[in-house]
Amino acid sequence: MPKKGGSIAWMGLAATLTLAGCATGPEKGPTAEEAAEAEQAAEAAEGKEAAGAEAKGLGEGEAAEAAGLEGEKAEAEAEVTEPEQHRVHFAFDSANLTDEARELLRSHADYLKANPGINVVLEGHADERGSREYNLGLGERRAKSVRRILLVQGVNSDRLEIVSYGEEQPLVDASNEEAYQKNRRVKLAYQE
Amino acid sequence: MTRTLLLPLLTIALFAALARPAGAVLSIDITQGVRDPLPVALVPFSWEGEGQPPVEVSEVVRADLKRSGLFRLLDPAAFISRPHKQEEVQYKDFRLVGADALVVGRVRPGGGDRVDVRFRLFDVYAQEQVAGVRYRAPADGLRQVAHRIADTIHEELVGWSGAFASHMAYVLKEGKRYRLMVADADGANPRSVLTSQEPLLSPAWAPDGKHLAYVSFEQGRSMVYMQNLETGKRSTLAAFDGLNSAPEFSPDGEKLALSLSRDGNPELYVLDLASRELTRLTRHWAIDTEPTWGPEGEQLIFTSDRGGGPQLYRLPASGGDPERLTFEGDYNASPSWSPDGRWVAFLHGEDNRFAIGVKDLEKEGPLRTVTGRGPHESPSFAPNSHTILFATQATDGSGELATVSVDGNVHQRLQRQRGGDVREPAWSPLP
Amino acid sequence: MCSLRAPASSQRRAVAEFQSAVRSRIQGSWLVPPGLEDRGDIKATVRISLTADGELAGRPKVVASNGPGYFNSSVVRAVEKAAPFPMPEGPTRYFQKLELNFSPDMVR
Repeated sequence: MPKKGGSIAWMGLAATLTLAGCATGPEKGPTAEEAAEAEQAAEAAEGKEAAGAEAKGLGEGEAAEAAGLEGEKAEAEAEVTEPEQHRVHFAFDSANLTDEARELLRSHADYLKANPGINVVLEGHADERGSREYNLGLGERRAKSVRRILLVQGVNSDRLEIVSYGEEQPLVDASNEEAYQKNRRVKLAYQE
Repeated sequence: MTRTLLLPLLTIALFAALARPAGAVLSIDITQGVRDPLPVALVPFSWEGEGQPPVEVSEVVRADLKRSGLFRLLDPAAFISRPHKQEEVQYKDFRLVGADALVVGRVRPGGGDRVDVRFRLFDVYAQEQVAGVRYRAPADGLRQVAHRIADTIHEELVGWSGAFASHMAYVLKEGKRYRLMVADADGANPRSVLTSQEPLLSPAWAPDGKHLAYVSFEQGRSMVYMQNLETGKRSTLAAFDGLNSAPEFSPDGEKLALSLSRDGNPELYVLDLASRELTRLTRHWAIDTEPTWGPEGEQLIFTSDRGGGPQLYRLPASGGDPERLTFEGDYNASPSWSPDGRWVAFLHGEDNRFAIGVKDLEKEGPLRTVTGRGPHESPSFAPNSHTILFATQATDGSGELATVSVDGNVHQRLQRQRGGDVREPAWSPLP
Repeated sequence: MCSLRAPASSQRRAVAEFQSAVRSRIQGSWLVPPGLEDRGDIKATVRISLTADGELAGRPKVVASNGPGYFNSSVVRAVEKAAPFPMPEGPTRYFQKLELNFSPDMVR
């Protein structure tokens, strides 16, 4: 078992590094943090596999932590709840995820793994400034950032679809910093 | 030398210096002048039919010339005489009112529903005709005739066409509805060629002026279509996985450059329109998009953030290593290559504010900005390679179009639609 | 000896003043075609004959040019609008045949 687990951990790490290398540039490459995270996720996956029938129990514990306010509910039921927030946000001209965003995505990953019937469309968006066409690319890059985290967390790639709307569908139709911040987002649109 | 010889010799020398041989001239160098608009006397054309003419042709000409910012149209109320044909012209009368150029014309019914228009352009100082053309057109073609007359006058007086007889495509958003519009270059005759509840962007003209390619989200994601403007027939050009975007026709109309992310991230491709064969041009993790063709169809300038942020690059249309073109500012995107190959206009950003920038591709040198910084986007060169059309915002924040000359001297805001946002302009080729 | 030098230098001064006056009047009248303001590579040479009063005697003639037609028209108009020119005191023969060399070198 340990041997198998070790190779899974390495595969997970290699997969993360390859994915990161294809889709990002020098300043957007895999950070030590991302690599470490990948390793942890791989180990968690390994743990679940080994435990077999206990997989659900482990998932329950993690969901309880990630859900935060919904913790009480999670303890009472043997179910992972859907995160309320379906959006993550980004800095200007960036596809990097904040720690808060990663945590949110982890909870989405847990929910999705517990509900295999749900597929997700990851909608990427940008604020209105600058080139519309470049913003299409930026929206897509952001959606891919989100997808990478979900994949690494064990969500099957078949369930994840990417669409970019660039700046064409703002959440807030205004021209100020607050609106721009809200519009730079990826929405996890569950398809049920 | 003796004194007796000296005086006569010096006198001769002096005369020699002062009294030049017959035919010798005094030379003067002039290197400066003034940049004022050229004064033009446009005599309202005569109408030889019943009632009112279907279109006031000379008024359309007047408005075009005025809009160019290069001419000062003199007030006809001050004219001493009002000639309509060559025999009636008294040049002295127009020198007196300060005109450099004189335009006269006649409009009359031409049989059936057709109309004859004849105009002449004169140089008031040389006292000779510079141009004269006769047209016959149906009543609904008279505005186009007027635009052609204005283009001819513009070209004869300043060396290049005003592009008044061309068209513009743009996207009009009203509420949640998007419409792809085509209008005359002066904003008249706007007509919708496509309506959608989903976003439309990046209209691009084919060199024949009869087809548009564009990006539509009508199927839930970005796809590239081509539409025949006369018949309304459409075909899908790109519906691959990922983004299908940024279409641009090659100058010979046989190929389309575009940006596709089917291979993982947006890359440049060239699509052969006849065979539908795709050739990939870039291989890089960066966003590579917004290709614009050089005049020979042999090179492309495009936007790429392979250097960390969006900048302009140039590469051969057959593929090869891109060469970086812009090094100033942290954001240079949306290039438009002038049809004569000399300039590239683009969006230049610093600290999240954008100006229209211009780079001279024939001379080394820094980029110039031709506008101040504002909510500007999508520069598009006119077919005269001198005027740049772009999208911006009115004071109330709604989208509108504007033009600026490549030397930065002439700025115009275009006639606004009632309500709605206008964006994504594309200037057509000359008819 | 000394008295012979004085007329020479005052003559030179008169020439320089005349050139300057002509240049200044023409510069104020010359509508440089847009886009050609810094094209020092374009040169047009115009010959004019003036009467003793500084009026144009006959039409200005473009005797050499590597510029486009509308550039040549612009320099002819500039000369026509700038005339008549202020002639110096005394004999004017020296100042009645001029060759004007136009070459735009203005800052963009």
